[in-house]
Amino acid sequence: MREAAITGWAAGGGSLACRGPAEGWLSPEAVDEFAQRHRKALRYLNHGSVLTAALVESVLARRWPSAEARPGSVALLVGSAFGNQGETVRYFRSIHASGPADVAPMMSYDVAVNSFTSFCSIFFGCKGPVQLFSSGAVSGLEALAGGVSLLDAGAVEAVLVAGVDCESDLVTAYGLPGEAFSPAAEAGAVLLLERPSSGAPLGGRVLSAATCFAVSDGGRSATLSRLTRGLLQGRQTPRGAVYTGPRAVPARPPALAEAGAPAWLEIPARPGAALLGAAGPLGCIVVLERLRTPGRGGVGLVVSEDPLGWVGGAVLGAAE
Amino acid sequence: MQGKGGYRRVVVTGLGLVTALGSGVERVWKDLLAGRDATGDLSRFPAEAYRIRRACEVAARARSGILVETIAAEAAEEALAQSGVDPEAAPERFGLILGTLGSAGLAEYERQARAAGRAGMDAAWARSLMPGTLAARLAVRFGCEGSVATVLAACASGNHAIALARRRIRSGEADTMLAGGADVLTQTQYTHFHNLRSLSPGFCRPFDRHRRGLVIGEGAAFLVLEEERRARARGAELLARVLGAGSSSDAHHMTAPDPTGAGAGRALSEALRDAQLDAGQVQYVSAHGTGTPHNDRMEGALLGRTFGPRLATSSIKSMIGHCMGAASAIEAVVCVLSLRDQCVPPTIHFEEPDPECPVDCVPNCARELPVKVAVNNAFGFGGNNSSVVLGAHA
Repeated sequence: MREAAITGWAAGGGSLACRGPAEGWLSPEAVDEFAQRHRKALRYLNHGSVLTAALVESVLARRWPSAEARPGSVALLVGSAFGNQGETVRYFRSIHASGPADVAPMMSYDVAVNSFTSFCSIFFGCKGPVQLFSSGAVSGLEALAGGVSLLDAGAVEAVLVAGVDCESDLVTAYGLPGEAFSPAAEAGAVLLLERPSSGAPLGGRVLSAATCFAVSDGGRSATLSRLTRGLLQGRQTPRGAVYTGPRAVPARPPALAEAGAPAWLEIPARPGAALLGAAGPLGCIVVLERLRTPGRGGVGLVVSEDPLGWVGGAVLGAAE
Repeated sequence: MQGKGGYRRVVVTGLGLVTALGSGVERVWKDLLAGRDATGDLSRFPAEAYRIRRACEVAARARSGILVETIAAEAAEEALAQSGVDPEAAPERFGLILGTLGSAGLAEYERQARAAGRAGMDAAWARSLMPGTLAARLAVRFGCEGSVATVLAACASGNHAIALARRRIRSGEADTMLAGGADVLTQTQYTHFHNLRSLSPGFCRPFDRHRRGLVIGEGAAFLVLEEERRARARGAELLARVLGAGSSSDAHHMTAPDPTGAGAGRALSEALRDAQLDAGQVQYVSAHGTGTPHNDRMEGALLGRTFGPRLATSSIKSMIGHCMGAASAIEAVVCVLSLRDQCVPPTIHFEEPDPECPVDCVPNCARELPVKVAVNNAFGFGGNNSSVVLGAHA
């Protein structure tokens, strides 16, 4: 697995504790302001696409203040457990209630489960590959691993990697008390990746990223340990780690203890929120912020797991 | 075996198919070569309220359960059985990537809503409706402990899955990957295409001057991709090589393709560049060929510019409909079969050429053709474009 340079990031969404005007953190009011500014284009659009677009705009504007300066080939990879499936179900309910002929025509443009990526590619002129990945709470890390791989293959000059999930009755039902996540909530995070040789100002580096799958509940912990060992092979002990997974975990997973990660960093989310697709990229941002603290440096670890079997991880390095 | 740049070569060792023409690669292939049409009347849900009521539906299954999971598992089992690979030897090196529009669970949710008179939601339905759940269930069933992912890229999803799986093997992350696509007919998707006026009132007639739209289909297809050296070492039959892949976005419109074909052209060029081939070395293209005025005009012009008007280019959507996320995976299987048997399927219902589509669409009759390199195109809604290049293994 090759490296990628992280040259920008942004995070936001209703379930995140507001970080004030801190760079890269968008409050719900800032997302609303974006929607209002572009209300003509966003008029019929689902909230997931709006949130993704607000975050992407924040990243692109700081990296390339003018659209003309952007590379011709930018890819967009989004990790989202549910994508736009909430709107798809809403569309069906309209059909069910009033019949197909009476469904509002503009709803037809908003039905695709992958509309976050399609809309953003059009809105921002991203002409590289666009893909949406659904792997539960590991969706965002799946997108990250895919983005690093795409850069390494030389197919594009930059990759926007996003993790987004928004409120819908699917997400709420998935997060019912007693179920795997309680409650699942809305959040988004975007990382901008470029090749290390791009010369762009660095926010950090992705040193390795990968996902895999545990076919049994009982094997997931061992699978996560194996994945983490592989990601950290040959690297220094992480200064800290972010873990996201099902339910509140009172103790560190064995993988973090084995890695010797001395700290367990928290994502600034509202109590009880499990962040699904956004979890991995948000974890990366939290680690990078810590690594940027003067006198810190080193590497940090993000690991994530999902009750359906996915596990994922990433090792991040400070900007050099 | 390593290709240029130190990357490992990727071969196809197994195929699996379920379509409206039937289940099983050889049965479907025989019917495709015979030009058999699976189009029929829509029966999957009450259709009285629709102007157009045509679809290509797979045969009903005896056992209950989620239909898309059933047909995806059938196709994956067939592919693995043909391949003969033993994933239990190294499950952490065995992965699965599924391309889909996200119909998993939706057809069953719609059915229960119609039966109950209301469309409620609970945790079980939410889990069933999560697009990635199908891949997770397949991974458990087949013991995949490597990379397991679901990619949603509209009608190009199948090609994206194949390209991603190839990349996993080339980079050394995996030795064996199941790559494919699966989708079933849902009232939601049907209404979406119907209300956008994308559907044909009769048949699907790709590249024909009087084409009027697509016919929705459903199906599943899987390919077993392996690292070539390992496949040879265990004596596997090599069906084809995956030589290259390219993808792009039009960045143009949520449903209509960029009429200039620039985005689709970038995906195609990137795929050929990745395969280290030029257009003159291609003998067959499996077109996206939906039968819509916009797509076929754009694609026909692009193929005419790239390959010239005499390259054999057919669209099996004329026979099995547009199988959405599964479409390009099914069409990739057909490309492999064309390489194996040195013949290409027809585009049926073709009566009058369209001057704006300067392609040889293999009208109405299959054709024997020496094929060493085939290109599989997929140009989906939202401007998602993907092309995959497959070649003979020898």
